[in-house]
Amino acid sequence: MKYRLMLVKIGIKKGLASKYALLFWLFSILISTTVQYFLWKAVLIGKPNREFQETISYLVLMQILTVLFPKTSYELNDKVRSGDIAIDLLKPLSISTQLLWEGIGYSLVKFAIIGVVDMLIFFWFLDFKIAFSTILMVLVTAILGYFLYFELELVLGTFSFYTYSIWGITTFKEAILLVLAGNAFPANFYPSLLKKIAQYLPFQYSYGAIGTLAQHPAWNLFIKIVVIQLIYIVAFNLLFKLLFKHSANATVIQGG
Amino acid sequence: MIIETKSLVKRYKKVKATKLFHKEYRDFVALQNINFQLKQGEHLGLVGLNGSGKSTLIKLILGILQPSSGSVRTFDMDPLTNRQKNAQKIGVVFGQRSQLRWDLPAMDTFKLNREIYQVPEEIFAKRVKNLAEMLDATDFLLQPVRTLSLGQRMKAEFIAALIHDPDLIILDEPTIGLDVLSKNSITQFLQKLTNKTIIFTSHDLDEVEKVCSRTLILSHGQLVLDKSSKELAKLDVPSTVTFTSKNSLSEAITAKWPTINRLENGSYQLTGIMQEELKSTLSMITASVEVDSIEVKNNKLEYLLGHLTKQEVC
Repeated sequence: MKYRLMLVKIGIKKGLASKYALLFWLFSILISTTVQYFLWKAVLIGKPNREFQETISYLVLMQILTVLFPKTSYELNDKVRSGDIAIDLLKPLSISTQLLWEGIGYSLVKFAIIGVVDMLIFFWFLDFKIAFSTILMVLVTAILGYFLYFELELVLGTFSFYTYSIWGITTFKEAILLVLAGNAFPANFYPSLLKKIAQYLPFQYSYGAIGTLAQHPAWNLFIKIVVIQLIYIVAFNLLFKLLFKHSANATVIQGG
Repeated sequence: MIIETKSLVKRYKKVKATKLFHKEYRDFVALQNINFQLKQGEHLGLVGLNGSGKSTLIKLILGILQPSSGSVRTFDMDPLTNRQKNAQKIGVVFGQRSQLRWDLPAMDTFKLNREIYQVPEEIFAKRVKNLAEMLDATDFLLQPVRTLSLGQRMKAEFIAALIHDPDLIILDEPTIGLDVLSKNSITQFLQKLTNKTIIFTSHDLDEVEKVCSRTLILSHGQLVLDKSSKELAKLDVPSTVTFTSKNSLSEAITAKWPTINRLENGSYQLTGIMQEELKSTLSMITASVEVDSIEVKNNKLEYLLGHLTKQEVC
């Protein structure tokens, strides 16, 4: 257990080492939020103010999740390309454990520098009127969403063993996130067919479903989301283990 | 037995050419029929040129590559399926890889390894102190790794790899790119680890002879020599004598060695001098010409690789 704590600490220290980069990230997020504010104000002109509040707070929540979720596929890709994966494979603990806990530490720093400001904006858009039960539901699903996203990233990162570059795959992932996960555009605005497809996609349960729960909190929806998240987490964990075992056995470590 | 390989073979598919729509592959044999055993406490040198298969052999021993045929046993287990179990007993330093976190002090990686390998706090503190003193590394362990020189970084890598007091230490070209002083410091450190089993790979046979009791030479994936370092030191390998002189060479010298070379920098060079002739050759040169500087070198590895075939030595 203590090594997990130490990995979190290492992640925090790594995050603090790049605090200025995170500050610039915060500024870019504030600019993006401002643009989105005026864009959606124009789009929802003539609609009730409540709808605008819900939409913009949803988008800010998606922004928080995007910032906090780990970019593990890139880390794994870098390790495979440089050959440093060899060092990680020689530790008496799995590479996914190393990446997960170090990533959590880094995400804590991102939360402290960017997330807190973003959260205040989120609450401000909702006039600070949000029930404690809603906060609890969003928190639980966001944590599970983090684990689900991490597993997905691991699976994507494993393709590095075969392609040595996952740029194309991650670009595709970004496109899926943009269109079907609901992190840039609420899925409510989509035609019913797309909405239906989005409902079954795993990314939806790292992003859109959490936003929907924040907008329309209900215990039965919460339970449904949690169950689907857990199923996806287990499924992707098994898929990653299977893929990784095959990849690591077939791999060629780069360089001497 | 710590390590045992039997008829070990590793083949890769290598890209021969990349065409517009497809790649052409060729079979590449990285290791061919490798047989050796490593006993506890042995210091084994693994020497060979680039691409000779040293690192591939190390990775097979560590279980991060799968053999194409034959077998390898590490701590009497299949290293591939017992990689994480074996990792508790192995410390590894790769000269071209790093386990240190770039933005953080080396001490943070040591502390992480303390938790991963479950080293008690007191033992950890004592071990770090001892290792740091032995490697003369006490001054920079709290500095971010990015601010360290290559030599300092490698010393920190050694400490990180030895925190859990491993039984087997694997060093894959740990002195690559280091200056003479750092190399010597690491060589002296390794000489002190007499109670450990070590595998040390290098291009430099002299360095390996200083650290290891036994040397294997690999060439094009084949094990071409397996000898004790003492036997290796006794091998009569021709030397090259290079000297500089303000004066031109005497007739006695040119008559004795008509093939003497004049190098572009003005030095003279004699090649192929056998051990038994070396003393008399040096005496004759110094007696016949006013010598400003003189250097004797023998490139044992190059010579051995040029003259050994598998049948000759194994």
